Amino acid sequence: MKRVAIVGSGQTHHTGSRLDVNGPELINEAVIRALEDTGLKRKDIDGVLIGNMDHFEGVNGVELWSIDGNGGLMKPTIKMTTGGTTGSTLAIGGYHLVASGHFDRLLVIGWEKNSESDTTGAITTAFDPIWDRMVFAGAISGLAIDAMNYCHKFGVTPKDAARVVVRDRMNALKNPFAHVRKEITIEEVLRSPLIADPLRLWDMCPRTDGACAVIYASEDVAEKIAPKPTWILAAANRHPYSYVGDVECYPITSLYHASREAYAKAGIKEPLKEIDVMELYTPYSYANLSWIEALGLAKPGEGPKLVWDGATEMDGELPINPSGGVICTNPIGATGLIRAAECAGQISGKAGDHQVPGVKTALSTGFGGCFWSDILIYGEKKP
Amino acid sequence: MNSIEAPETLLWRESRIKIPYAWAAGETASRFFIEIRDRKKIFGTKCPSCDKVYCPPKKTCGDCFSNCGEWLEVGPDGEITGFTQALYEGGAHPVKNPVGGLILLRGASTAMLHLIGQCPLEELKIGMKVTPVFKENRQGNILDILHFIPAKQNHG
Repeated sequence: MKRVAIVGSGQTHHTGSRLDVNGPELINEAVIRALEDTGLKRKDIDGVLIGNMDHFEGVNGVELWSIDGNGGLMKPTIKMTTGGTTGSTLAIGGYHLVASGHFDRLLVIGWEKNSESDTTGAITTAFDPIWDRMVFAGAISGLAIDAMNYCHKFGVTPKDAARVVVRDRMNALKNPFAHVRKEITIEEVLRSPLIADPLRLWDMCPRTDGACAVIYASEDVAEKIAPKPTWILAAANRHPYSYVGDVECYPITSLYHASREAYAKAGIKEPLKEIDVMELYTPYSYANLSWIEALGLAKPGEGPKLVWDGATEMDGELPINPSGGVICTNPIGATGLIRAAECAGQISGKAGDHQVPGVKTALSTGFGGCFWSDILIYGEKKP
Repeated sequence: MNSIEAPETLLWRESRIKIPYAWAAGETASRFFIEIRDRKKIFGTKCPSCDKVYCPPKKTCGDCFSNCGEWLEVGPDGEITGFTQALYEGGAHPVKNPVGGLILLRGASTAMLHLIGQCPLEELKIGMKVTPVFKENRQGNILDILHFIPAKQNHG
């Protein structure tokens, strides 16, 4: 198995609606930026791995439809789609494909134009037609049930949840690619309209148009392309049942088990101390509390304390979501891959104004389906 | 869709995809719905390896990969293990602003996603006992149970 590194990436400036470009043109913007970041040309790329959630745009076969924009013309072009985890599946799948030895320079693309359809309607098509759809389908309600359970168990409050929204919004101010770049107060979050108890409007991620491209390279070429490649130390994922009644709400078992596997592979024993930055796919505020407990950063019920103590701020012990996270930017098929690109940016020192100083180890997650979790761990040192 | 504000130089095409489907329920779900439709009884299936009782029923236990061939009557009462009210527009919502909950029926190991009715949201609690209200005209689908209501209302 080859060791694999991320050698560069490109993102679009994420926003609510990109009427000035169609899907393939949006994809192309991210691809051109990734090629420029690495100095590679389209001819240098061995293959393209691309993904999104088809039903958001209503166009199936994106790998074909976008062939002129994605760089894959007359090259091996592969598609991966796993719902909300699509972006992180791409990040893990790209790693697997290059580790296999079949590709040396792989272009990995995640994208979405959420503005092009009714997001809730489209997500409903991912739910079971017999058991879910007639009753209570949609992404938000399952997340609300999860949040309510967590609050019930530990006495966590809406104010605790609002605190992480404030953090992520502050961080996004320094990320030129973030979609929502506006400071917010705890009171503003608490006053925003209730959409599914206990979730309010500003507890939730936005719907975003955007694309992200990441270039993976094998150990044979990585150091020739990038002065400081970001090595992938571990990847793991877990998919629990898809029916919400079958899933244990706390702790999020998929993330718990995937992270333990990834920590073991990367030799990490104390994640809070040993990891320098995290980019988490946390699409609603409460996830930034309960899921950091599942990741082993805090004891059960003590996630809020870690956040209030400032440990996850930019100048804290373990900065979380320097980019502003998913609360500020969510082009769904790209979201998990943006987390990988951001971690690579942090390790290679290319994160600009939201750079955390001295990052040696980083972790990203992906979330989707019915509480599915993906994990990647990255390091500056070749494993 | 996001509300579109664009300069006159940028165009878009609006449309809608409407395709008919006929989704097979399969033998397992069919039997579950027929028991409700014809006898107002709720059944789950039991995994012979781990003894988990699935309601809604499963043909295969995802953990043990065993055939859950044994049918057991569960409920009809149960308790709420989680709930919320959707205050947003959902194309598939059966009623406006539905209150949805996870109902762990008596004797079952897994919860059923269903609607909760006849209870103000502020009185709903995790752990509350509930009982189903069956529809008069049942058609063999999940909404043959109209919703679950607090258990005391049925005894009062």
